[in-house]
Amino acid sequence: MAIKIQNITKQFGDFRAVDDVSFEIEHGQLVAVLGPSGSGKSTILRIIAGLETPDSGEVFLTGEEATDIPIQERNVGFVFQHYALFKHMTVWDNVAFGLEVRKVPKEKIQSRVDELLKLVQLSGYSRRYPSQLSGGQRQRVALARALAPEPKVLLLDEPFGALDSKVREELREWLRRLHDEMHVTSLFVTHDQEEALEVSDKVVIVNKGKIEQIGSPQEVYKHPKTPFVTSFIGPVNVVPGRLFGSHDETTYVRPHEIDLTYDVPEGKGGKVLPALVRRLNHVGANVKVDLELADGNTLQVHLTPERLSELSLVEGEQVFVSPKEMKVFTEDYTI
Amino acid sequence: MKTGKSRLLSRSLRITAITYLVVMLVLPLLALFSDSLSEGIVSFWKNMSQPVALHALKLTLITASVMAVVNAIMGTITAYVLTRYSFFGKSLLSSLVDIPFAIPTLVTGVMLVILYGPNGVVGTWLKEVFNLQVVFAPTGILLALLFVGLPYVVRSVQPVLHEVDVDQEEAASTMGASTWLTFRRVLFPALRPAILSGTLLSFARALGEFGSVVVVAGNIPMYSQTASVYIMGEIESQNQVAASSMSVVLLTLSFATILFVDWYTRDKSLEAGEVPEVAEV
Repeated sequence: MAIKIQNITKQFGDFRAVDDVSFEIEHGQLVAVLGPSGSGKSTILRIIAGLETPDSGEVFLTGEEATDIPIQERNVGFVFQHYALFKHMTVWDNVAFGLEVRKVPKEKIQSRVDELLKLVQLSGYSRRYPSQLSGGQRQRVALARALAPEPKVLLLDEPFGALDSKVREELREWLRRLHDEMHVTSLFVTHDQEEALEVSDKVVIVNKGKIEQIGSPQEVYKHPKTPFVTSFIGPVNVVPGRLFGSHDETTYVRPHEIDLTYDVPEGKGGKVLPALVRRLNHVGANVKVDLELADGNTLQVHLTPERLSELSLVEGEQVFVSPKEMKVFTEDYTI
Repeated sequence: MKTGKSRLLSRSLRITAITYLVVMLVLPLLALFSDSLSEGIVSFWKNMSQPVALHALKLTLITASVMAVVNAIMGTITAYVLTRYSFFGKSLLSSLVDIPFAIPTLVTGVMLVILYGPNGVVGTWLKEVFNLQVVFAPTGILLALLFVGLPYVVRSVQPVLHEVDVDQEEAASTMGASTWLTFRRVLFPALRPAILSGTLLSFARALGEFGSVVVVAGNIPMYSQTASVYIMGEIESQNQVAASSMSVVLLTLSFATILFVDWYTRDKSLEAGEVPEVAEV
């Protein structure tokens, strides 16, 4: 195991940021820690790095107990959301810093820095200062700097959080390719579910300081285990129990897993609801259909343009809603 | 098009401002310089090479320099603690830093005499245990200067520390840098201009410090008499040329210091200025 944390708990005043969290990460994986802001995900990352001390629990890095090892000796690479580059140093000096600290011989530093700058595609920028670079370039410098001392694990705290969406997408695809080349065990924190699902091998979903689910992107998307995961990952309709199930149950249905028909389909008696088509929105790959149920609740359905033209749906029409797939949770879960 | 009236107004505005500056600043300066040289350069030199004058100047320079060094170190540490740590009473302590600016310097002197004087609690103790006399001795001058100069470094370093993200320090530590190395290589280069300008400003201030020193120092010629107190003495004994000679020396020193700080900080601020973002490649 490259990273293992066991029963980690951390409290800030009255606020329990991390509550008895345990997980393991295998060598060479790229793992996302996904959660809303304030869920404790960054704190977990900082505890692994040694930037924060847990109140209880253990941290293992490459099989060795690291809980009491100071940051300086943990040999982790850390990338900060706001780059944290040394402003008064050139790009070259920034990347060389970790090597100089470790007293690597000069010639070796030279070749390693050149190699890394090439890797992050900034070879021509070695003499620039951070203030002369764009956000995306700065974050690539930060990445090169973190990788330079060949860390055991790479930790990234919302690495694309400060970038605009286009650069963000480019950079995350690039990070995936880089990871496939380098195979450094990497753990990155994000609040963006799309980012987590697209880039990672494994997703750790955190909410209110606790782990909700761990699994591959496909697993957590297809088989969410908790109401939180269901509603956090991908769009979902939350339907109160009395419509599809019993009173203490809530049903979660993804908009694209609902079909609409004009008649009650055979053999589907209890799982069908009448609804009124309120609005059709044709923007995007699918058509978004807003429906109003008999009790006033609303429901969104995503239909392919083909299905829509089959139905020749018009706003104001009466249809029947039949979910193809849904998740039912009992109500004692709170979201 | 400017009307004749507004042209007249702008001209009279300029004349008013310039005249004001000349009368208030340039004239006294000219008077001082001409008076110090009124009996010729030889006399200026003779005045300044008097053992009493030389000793006063030397004592001033030494005490101000020692104060500046201590102030640079302690001021930086104080600023660091006040920005990076949180503890009980921090905001109160932080506002106390400005007190030396607000207290009349004579009052500063009185406070120090009460505390460290022959009848003071600390003074008696120091005398008994270490046989150290603080008040009416050069040590007292140093204490007074330290008190008066305290806010300069703290207040010039604090805003820069606020600007430097904790992130940078954390990044350095994840790369294996010790606290000291992080300070030396990451924090200090960013703070250096602020530390230097704060230190030099406190030095310039200390050169002319009178109020607190005159109360604390005892003003014994050749022992605890500083340059500014010497000037006062010469004025009182009707020796105006000697007073103005020393004044010119003090003035030149502190003016040169402030000019240097001005040039240095302006230069640095240009260098640190953000260059416009370069497009993504």
